[in-house]
Amino acid sequence: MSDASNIALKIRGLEFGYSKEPLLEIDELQIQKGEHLAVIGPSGCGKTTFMHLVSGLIRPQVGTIEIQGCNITRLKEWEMDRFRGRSIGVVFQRLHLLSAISVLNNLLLAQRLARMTPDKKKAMKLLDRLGIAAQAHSLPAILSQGQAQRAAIARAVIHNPSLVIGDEPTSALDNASAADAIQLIKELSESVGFALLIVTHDERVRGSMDRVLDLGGQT
Amino acid sequence: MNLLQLSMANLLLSPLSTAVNILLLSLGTGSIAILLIATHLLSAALIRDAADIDLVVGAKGSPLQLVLSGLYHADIPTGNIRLSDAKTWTEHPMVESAIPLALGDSHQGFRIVGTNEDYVDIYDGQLAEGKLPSNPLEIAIGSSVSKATGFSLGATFASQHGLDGAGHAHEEDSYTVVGIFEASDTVLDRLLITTLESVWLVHGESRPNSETYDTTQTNRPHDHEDVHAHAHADAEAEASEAMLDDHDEGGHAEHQHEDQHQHEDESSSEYDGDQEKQATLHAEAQEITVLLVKYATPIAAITLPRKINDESALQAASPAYEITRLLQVIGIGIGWLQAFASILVASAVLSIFAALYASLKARRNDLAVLRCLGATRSELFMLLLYEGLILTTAGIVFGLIAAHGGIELAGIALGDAQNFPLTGFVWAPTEFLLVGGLLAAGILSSLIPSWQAFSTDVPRTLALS
Repeated sequence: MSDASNIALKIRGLEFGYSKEPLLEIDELQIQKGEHLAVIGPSGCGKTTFMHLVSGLIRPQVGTIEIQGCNITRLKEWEMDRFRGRSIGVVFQRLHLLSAISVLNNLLLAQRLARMTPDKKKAMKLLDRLGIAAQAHSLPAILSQGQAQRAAIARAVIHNPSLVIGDEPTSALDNASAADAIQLIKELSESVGFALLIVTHDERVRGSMDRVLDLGGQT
Repeated sequence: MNLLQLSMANLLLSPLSTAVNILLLSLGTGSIAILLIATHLLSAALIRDAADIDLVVGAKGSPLQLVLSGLYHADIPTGNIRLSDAKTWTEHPMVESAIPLALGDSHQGFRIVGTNEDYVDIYDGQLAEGKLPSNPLEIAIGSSVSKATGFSLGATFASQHGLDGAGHAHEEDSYTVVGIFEASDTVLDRLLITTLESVWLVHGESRPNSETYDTTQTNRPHDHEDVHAHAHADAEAEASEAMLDDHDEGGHAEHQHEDQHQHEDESSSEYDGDQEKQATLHAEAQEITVLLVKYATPIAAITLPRKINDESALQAASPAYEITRLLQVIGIGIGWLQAFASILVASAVLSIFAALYASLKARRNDLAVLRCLGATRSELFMLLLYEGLILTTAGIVFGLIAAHGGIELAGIALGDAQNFPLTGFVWAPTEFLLVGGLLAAGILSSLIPSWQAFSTDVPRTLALS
């Protein structure tokens, strides 16, 4: 029996499609805080669409999505933007750090957009924990792929979200870096307490998650 | 780190493009600002130096030239007029006051004005040192003259014939500085003020033993009783035969200085002989250059100039009318220059638009990521708007600094002898309009890119990336 306040993500009766034929149908899905879920499936099965639905970038035609008890399908667009800033962290496939500002400022901006007071100390501590404190004031362009991925992970968790969504976060990394990145994000999940939802093709990731949602087979 | 700082960082990511855009806008802004400041300075100087003078009366010629030379000391006089002719009008009931000026000589490019105390009063001239000239060949100098020449009280110098400093020196009659005026930011700063009789004396018209004239023809009560007491009787007793020069250096009535000296020699012998005859001759021959008239009644503005122009050999010119005409003529030239500068500004605004648009295309992913991080559509709109405003503001600030600084430097380089003082430490009211217009143009140029940022389709952009 799960405690309601411990549920990070709850989906019920979800249907979404770009045409009359639904692309995605999920009857029920729950993820507890600190739980790690891999979302897999063949290309075109709706993995990215699922990620966009959960992050509130698009809305389902039918069903509800609750994050930390808040039904995000009922939020107005600007409310959703703010909610996303506060409660969700995203790690992209291609990192997508803002190139004009330093690694540290990427983190401080994420805090600002989460409507938190930017906390430089906390950001530096996190970067230190991820082993990239020395690169705090560097522009993302000069970081290695592995360093950039760590910076992206730091930015996704700096504001203590309830849910972190990863969109193929390891696809551009070599084996060692990928394992390292997954290990880091899992450690942070345990210490911060966020649920982790990773959309992936990567078997290495799949094997390290608590549960797997196969959108091709709807498991 | 906030959105404004992010906008700034985005601009610094392309320093060359940012610098070019700011430079373009600065050039346009600076060009327009220079024109606005110069026009403002000119208008302010014209109004200030007009000193509520309603009419300038002088020799026939160009009315604008008469006003520029008689009131602003910025042109060559149209010629001289007989004091006796001028007197007809100084005593007219429609005239409250009339101040005579005798021009024609200068020192180091600064003009010497033979006049009376009333002339100093209309500019609120205050003496920093010394006294006003009351005896022949005494002179008081303006603050700019003092600065440029280094003259202090007691300094003596010979005036030069003509107004361009190229004429011969009147070595035989040296002026003595007896007063130095405080800076008044008027034409007085650039003048050397002496008595009418000193000017006549220098031109051989009267000798030091002659008594003081009061050439002030004022219908209001006079403050200087002792001077007034000498008035017309003295004038008639004065002996001198020479006329004041025409002071025409630009192709007007040519001054025959050789003839004058010849004439002077002849008259000296006459002086020794028949003083009474000379006095009569002199009273008829004494000349001034202009008469600065203040009306006693508003109706005079309608009738008096026409009356003088129609009924005498003199010319009356209204400063208000002539200056309006002058500013209209200048305005046409300024209008063309402003049109050219406006094209520069328009190019700069278009360039800002192009830069923002190109940057938007390159940063679509960043905008999508910002939405994922919690930025609202409005915040993305503002992000691009800030960039446009930062570029515009920087262009305006640098342009204004360049314009004001340039004018100040030009003022320093040209020195105190220029006809209109140039200073960059003024703010033309029209500059507010310029700044407002440019900010509006900057906002306008950012609107399309900002709207596109607002409309960013995040899922699609992320999917494409």
